[in-house]
Amino acid sequence: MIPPAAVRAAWPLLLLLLAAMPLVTPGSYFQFMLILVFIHAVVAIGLNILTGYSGLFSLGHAALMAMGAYTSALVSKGLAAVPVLAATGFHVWIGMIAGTVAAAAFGAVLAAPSLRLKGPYLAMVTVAFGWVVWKILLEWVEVTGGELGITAIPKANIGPLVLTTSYFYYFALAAVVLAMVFQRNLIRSAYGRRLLAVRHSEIAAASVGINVYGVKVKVFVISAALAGVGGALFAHQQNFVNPDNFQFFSSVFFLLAVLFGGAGTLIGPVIGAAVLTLLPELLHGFDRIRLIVYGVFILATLYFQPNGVAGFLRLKVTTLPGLRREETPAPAAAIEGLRLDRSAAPETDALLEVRSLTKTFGGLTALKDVSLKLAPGRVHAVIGPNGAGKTTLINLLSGFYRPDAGEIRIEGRPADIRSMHGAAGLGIARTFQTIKLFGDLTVIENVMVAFERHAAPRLWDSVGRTARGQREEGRRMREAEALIAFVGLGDYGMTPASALSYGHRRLLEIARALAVRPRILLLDEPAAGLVAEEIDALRRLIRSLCEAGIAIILVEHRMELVTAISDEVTVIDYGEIIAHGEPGAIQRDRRVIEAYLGSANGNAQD
Amino acid sequence: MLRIEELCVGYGSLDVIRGLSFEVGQGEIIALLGSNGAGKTTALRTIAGLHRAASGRIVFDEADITEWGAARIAGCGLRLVPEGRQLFPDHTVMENLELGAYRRLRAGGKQAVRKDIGEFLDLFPAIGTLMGQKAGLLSGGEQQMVAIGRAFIGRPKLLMLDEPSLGLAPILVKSLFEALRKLRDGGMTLLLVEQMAQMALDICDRAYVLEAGSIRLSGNRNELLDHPHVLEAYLGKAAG
Amino acid sequence: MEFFLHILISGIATGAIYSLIAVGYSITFSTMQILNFALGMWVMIGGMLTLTFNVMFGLDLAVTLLALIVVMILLGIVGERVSVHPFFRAGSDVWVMSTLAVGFLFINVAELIWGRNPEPVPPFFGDGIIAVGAFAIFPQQLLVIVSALVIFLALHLFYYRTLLGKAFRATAHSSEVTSLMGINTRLICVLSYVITSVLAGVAGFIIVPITFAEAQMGTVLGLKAFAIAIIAGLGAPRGILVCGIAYGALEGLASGYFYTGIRDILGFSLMILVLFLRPEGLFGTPSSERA
Repeated sequence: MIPPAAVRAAWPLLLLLLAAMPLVTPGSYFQFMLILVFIHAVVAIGLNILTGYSGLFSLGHAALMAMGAYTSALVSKGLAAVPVLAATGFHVWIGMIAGTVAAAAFGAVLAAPSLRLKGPYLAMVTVAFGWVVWKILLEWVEVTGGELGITAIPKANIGPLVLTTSYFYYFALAAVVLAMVFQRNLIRSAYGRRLLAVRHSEIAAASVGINVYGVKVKVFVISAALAGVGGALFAHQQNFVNPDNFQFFSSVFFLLAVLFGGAGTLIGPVIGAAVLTLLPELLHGFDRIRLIVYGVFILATLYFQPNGVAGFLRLKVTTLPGLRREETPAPAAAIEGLRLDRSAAPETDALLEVRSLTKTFGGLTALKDVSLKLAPGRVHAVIGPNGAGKTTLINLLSGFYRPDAGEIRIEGRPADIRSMHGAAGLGIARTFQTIKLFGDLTVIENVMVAFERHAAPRLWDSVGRTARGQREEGRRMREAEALIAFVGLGDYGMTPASALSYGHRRLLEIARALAVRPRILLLDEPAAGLVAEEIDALRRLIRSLCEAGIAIILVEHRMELVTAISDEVTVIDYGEIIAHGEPGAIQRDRRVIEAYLGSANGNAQD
Repeated sequence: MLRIEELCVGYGSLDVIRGLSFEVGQGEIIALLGSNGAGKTTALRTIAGLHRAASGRIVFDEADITEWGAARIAGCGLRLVPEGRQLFPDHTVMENLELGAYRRLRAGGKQAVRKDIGEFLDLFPAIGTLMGQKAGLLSGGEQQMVAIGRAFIGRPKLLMLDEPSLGLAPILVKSLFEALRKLRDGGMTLLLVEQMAQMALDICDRAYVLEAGSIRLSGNRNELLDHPHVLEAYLGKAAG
Repeated sequence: MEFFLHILISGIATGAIYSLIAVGYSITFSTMQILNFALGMWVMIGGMLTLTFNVMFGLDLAVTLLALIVVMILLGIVGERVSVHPFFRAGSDVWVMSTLAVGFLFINVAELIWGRNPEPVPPFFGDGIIAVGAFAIFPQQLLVIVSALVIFLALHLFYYRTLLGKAFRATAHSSEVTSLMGINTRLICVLSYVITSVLAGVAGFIIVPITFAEAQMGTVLGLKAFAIAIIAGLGAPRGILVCGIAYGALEGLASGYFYTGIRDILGFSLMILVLFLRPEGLFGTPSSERA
């Protein structure tokens, strides 16, 4: 591993070297090739944000680049007829902007349907898209010029100064540097943290209020826009474009550049673009065996350097750059924060009311006509045999499923819970029976990602590193620290969540759910797999949450916990309520004993 | 029959099992106790060949199986019933059992397998009417029975069970442990990982207590039932 | 009417081929959660081998088919070893690139060996037409349709009636649990890749008289077959047969009555539409991800 200081020192040197290049060899072929490297790097950076950081494959980026190139070419050629624009050079600038917007718009059109899919499906849809675009470029001759493409695309100019190769070189270099800064700021921020969370677990991300689908569409559009910038630059450098430039193979080229350079690293896509653009120039007679060379190259990269060339530079991805830690607030502050929220809410005896909820799965009734009420600060336990529908109830309340019949009311008003992030927005947070944390992220980041409801990150705050963004980030950090201290994980803030012990993971899930500042907390078997002493700590934790006024639904098998902290218990069997009452009464209920507890439930009370 | 020597297993930089050693003798029921994260499940999965050991040895029937793959280990008579039952939900109960006896059926032991299925149904009569059902439609308790049956039908010498009670209603846990007792009476050796320490201690001959990836305590069941540390940490009772 | 029947039948024949390739995606996807992204290139290799054995070496058809299957088995084993197995444990989508890389190798090698010009392969049963009233069909087309049906039936019997087939389905659900049964899942993965490879080779064999033999003959076929696999649902082999044939018929009619260029644009747009309305495919069951 190269020390970070050396990496930082290398940057200005490299930039200086690149800036001096045209002075040494003005207008050379090598300079022309470097411009191409810069253009490819811009596209590859866009693809890296998508593939490397968000885990979404695209094999259609050449088509998006084509949208940018063709639009920019057509618009600038059209506007060249307007003397004022042509003289000032605005025709080209407007064209480039139009190209970028067109690529972004097409990205949105493509993303909207296909981002409901994952992995190979998405990859193949993008392949198909690329193929359709290529076909249209060939067939729609009146507009695209068919096989011959568009020629005599105007060069960029600023007033009388025409950007010939040497000037355009600086322009393209500036574009790369900007794209890199954009990428760095985007990833190392609350916005990037959101991307990493979505990549790691979409369900968990949704449960803390992240609109997963929306995030994915946005990142695809961002990526498409960068491809459009690359396309526009390409059009005005080459001065002609044709469909051959944007074949399926070019899309593979960009993905390969990202993988070879190092997907999910900041510098990787640039290295990859540079090597893959310059490599063919170094090999003679390359054309006949071009695909063989690329094929071997891909396999060798994947085999020997799966993290790419920049893999060894891969520092721990942190989404917390340069944030100063202020004094750690006392754990009590966290619970105060949760409580404050409550005082504003009207005092009500039924914070949550479920009326005749029913859910069937392909003829199998998982939940039938279930009703219950929940007041603030109360614990309502739901118990029952396995497969009775307890988790289905939680999935309905948290928006993971939608009910077939029945109604959920919050504070007396019907709540239309359409999605998990929608439920989180209403103040319903949950934990999972099988723990779903963001394993790559640290403990504190796991919690910081969950402030969507109160402090959702904005794109501009992240990319622009605005004062407001930094302020909000500082606040998130303080509140997250308080929360993890509150659940007893104060010493583990910087530990990756994946390295926590099982019991600690359960606690972290609760801390993350609390970051939503829930009015209603749904706990799905929080004691599963905990030993007696850990259950004790859990009981105290739940107790203090009640005192802060949070209403809790507790699905649990461990009767010692249920009897110790529940105010009331509902027993479900085969999706229907078979008993309801105080814990003591429930334990004596004949039907409950038969269906669930067993004749002598002494064991459970041990 | 099974001997674990100085076993170490890790995920990435995280060591889960550190120098674990224990033994299981012919015909015994051994329980592995411990809080979650202590490494019980990892230990079983490593023995079954689902994880690679970083160091140490696993010896089964005098053969060093440390480097063997999961299929080979199962084939030589050491079977694991994984946590959460893990039936093949789209296969029928009968097909699940057939797959459990895959190697025997391949070797042409159709008659013997049929006889063993009959024996299994004697142990768990409730399953008899469900043979044509898709396994995914069974209740949790029924699934656990089939999961045990699926391993049983492979005629293992040693059966490992990972948290068989997890997610089962208390009433089902009781009948499950009765079934395990019957298996033992039938001469099978059992290695049991269980979070319900009381239940496990009631049924086992000897037990080991795992903490932080190695053995903290061991002994026969009466010794452990009276041990203050066990009482406090695993049975939730005050010592004394 | 005659024209209608003619393009309908040739559409169905094309569709049968699409299904045959598409089911290949389904087989490896269900056992290993991977796809051979370059399956079209494997079809091309099948076509090229037919050209070599049948036309160049003058071997008769049965021998050609046998030799071709042997080569495809070997290629399948090597292909799995090189482009799938090393990346299987990584659990990522790396195989998207690695299988494509093998496809690139195939295209380039084919260009080097057989040149870039399309070579004709004569139809297996001559140029005659089998005609019953208005219903006319080329023997080659009939062969294509019949082979597809036979192969699908055989696959179905294999999956549901044989122990090995049941083990395939079990591996599809969880290879880890299947290995706990003492079943060699590694072997099953290799086998599924090999079956896919042989199916692609056989597809290449029976269509090469219709398409001509050239290095790019499989590229678009592979893409369309994938579109069909997705439209039907990757886990639904029978759906793939139905969708493939329906798609082929539709495509035949579209290019017969409208403009040929619009054909492919329409097909892929249809795929995107289906994905939007039913991400699991028309015949697939929604994935039951649990929270």
